[in-house]
Amino acid sequence: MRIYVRDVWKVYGGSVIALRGVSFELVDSRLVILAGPNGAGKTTLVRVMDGELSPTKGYVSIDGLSPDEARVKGLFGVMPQEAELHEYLTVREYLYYLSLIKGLSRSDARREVNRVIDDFMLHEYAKRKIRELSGGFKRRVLLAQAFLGTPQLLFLDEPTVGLDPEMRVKLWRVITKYLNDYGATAILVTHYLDEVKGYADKVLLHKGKLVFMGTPKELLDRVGYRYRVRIRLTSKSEGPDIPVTKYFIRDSEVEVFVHDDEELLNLMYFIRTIKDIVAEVVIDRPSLEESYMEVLRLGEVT
Amino acid sequence: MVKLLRIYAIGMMYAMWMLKNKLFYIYLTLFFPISILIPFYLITPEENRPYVAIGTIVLTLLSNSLVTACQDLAMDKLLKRIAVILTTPVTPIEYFLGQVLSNALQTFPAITTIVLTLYIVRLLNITNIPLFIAGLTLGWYLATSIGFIIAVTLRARDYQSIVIVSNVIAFILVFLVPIYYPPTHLPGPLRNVAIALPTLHIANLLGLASNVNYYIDLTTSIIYLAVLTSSLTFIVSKRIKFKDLY
Repeated sequence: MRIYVRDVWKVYGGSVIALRGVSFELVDSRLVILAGPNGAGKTTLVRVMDGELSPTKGYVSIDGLSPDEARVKGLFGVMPQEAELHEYLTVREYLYYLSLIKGLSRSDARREVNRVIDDFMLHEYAKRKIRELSGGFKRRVLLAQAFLGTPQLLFLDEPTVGLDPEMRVKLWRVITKYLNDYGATAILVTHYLDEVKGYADKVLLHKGKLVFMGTPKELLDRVGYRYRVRIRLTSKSEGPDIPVTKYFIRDSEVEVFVHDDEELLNLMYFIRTIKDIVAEVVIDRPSLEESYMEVLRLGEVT
Repeated sequence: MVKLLRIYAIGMMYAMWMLKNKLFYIYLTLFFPISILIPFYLITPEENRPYVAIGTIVLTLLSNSLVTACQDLAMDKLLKRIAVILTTPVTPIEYFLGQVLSNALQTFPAITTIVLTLYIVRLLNITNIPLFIAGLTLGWYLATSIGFIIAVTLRARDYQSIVIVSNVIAFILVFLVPIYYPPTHLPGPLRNVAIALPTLHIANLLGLASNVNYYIDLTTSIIYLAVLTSSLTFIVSKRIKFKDLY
């Protein structure tokens, strides 16, 4: 699937600029993370891409079709950021009617409803009225409806907000399994970058305009170091003379930013030489969230 | 191309709210019109009582179809339920026809009960059943169209504004138009205004089918209603951008 976004602007009420000439192209991506600060226009971008909103300027094409044409062909599955459900219906009724609205036959609709009820672990609640469900379960139903009709392109706007960590991990697995099984593409708006970094093949950072586009690894590289080593000393001291270029000393803790494996090895050797004054060594990798903060801070255009 | 299964699904999705709220359904469809029928019946001279019967039927049609169509759309905007529908392949005319079906499921059981009640108490004497059914069908379709267009046209997402406007328009169309009483009771200029409103023509069809005289010939009402029905359907299918609903 080829998604082409060309110089898209969206201005609300003649004065509020939500999108400032956004351009990018995605070809055969699986899971694309769209991240950015609150109010940066991520939801507007998704709504322009799925055809809910017309851009003020520019255009979007999905496999050569306009979003409206792609919608009519049933290529989309969309989970909006905010949307209430028809609360007086049962979960099964809601999903069944939506399947018919998406253009499925009665028998296909029944099969699809059973599939998403299985995939999204909604068995126990299928016969319950939606208004009787907790917020987290309603969110799951809203997510499940996006997968009805096996769409080839999913727009999922913060699908796991309000869900517990265990359920979030389960749902990421369900989503990625679906993408792999059906060869589909998902554009995922989320703030939980590190949870999905293992599944995503592209990251778009958006702040009114696109400030970064690349793989999660490329984003991680933007932070400027590969490892962060925290050395806690046995007592407050001036600190040893660390053989790397970037480090900070705070009280009895030294924070070292290491660029590559060789530098890490050298540091380890050095730590051995000062082991008498070292109480603890912690090594970790920079998180995607840290890289995200760094890129947004720089406001870098890629 | 309009897809019937999609219209059925939209109709059921919206009708279920009313059908699952039985007490509210009974209130809106039976208690409300009958509570107006009884005092009107008591204070109206005997020769004009058939007008009260027609007025009650038109009120039941209007209060269900126009106000419900308006409120469903207002609720969709308020709760952003429309956001999910908008991302499906549904077209404005399919969504509208779904609402029409939803209103039929809600309106016709009530109308049947009201008509049977009026017939049993001998307030209504239907002599032309096809014309009577045509009047009911046109009334239901027009009221839904008007409600739908009001809710779309009002840009406000404010549920209350839409509901207030729909109720005011329903009130004007039922109580300020000579339906519960003969048009001859209105002064001349006001009668000319009333004849421009659709409810009088719906009442006229129902009246002609049951020996109640609204002093308008059948052809005039049929031409009026045919033109209005086509115009409203054209507006819904060609002029409304679905994105405007949200």
